[in-house]
Amino acid sequence: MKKRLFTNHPKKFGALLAINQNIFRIFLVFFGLILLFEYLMPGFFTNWFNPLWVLLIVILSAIIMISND
Amino acid sequence: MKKSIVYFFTALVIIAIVGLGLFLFNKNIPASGYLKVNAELGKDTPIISALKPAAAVRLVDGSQELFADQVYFDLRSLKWFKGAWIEIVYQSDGRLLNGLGAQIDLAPDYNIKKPLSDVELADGWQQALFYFDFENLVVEKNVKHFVIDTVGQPDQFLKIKSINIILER
Repeated sequence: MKKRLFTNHPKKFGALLAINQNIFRIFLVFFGLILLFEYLMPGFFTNWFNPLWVLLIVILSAIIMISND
Repeated sequence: MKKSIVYFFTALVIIAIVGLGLFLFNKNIPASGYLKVNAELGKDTPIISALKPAAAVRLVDGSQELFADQVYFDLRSLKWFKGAWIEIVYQSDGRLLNGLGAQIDLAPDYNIKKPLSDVELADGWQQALFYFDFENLVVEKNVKHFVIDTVGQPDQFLKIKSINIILER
């Protein structure tokens, strides 16, 4: 049986990990949309909020996903 | 049970993002046709930049003092805004406001306009109102460049209390 550090979590985390995986997918698509909109219409998103927050969520959820793989 | 929790939170995230998208659409394409933005003096905001060059301006008690004949700022607005009303509330301390210009050539060349109205407010402040059509302006990535043109000696200054812009669709 494969055993790694940080993977020894109880089974109830399964739902949270699935939510995390969905957050990763949704926010990654959202970040892609922001890039597309900003290319076509500079300022559409970045006039109102900093898209780095979205990227930060993507990176954090990716780290959680990879470390629990 | 577990699956329903996952679906619930996923739906929550999607609703939040759609809500944010609708908020942004409403901000960028206002139903009224007008969008009011205020400059935060001394600060660079994504829509209105701080006044430049930094050596020619000074922030005192929330108002900006201008020492140079020409001080610049940038405005980033989306393509469908065709013009802007720009209101400057100022006070003269020897230096006089000549006008406001928008960049019309890469040279750089600015078409300096006199205010459409110049009204006296309380406590010695004055309110100058300008209108600019965006049609013939130099636009780089939705950024337009403006210049505040003043006349005076280097030790004289013009105090600016606020710069408010109403974008028109």
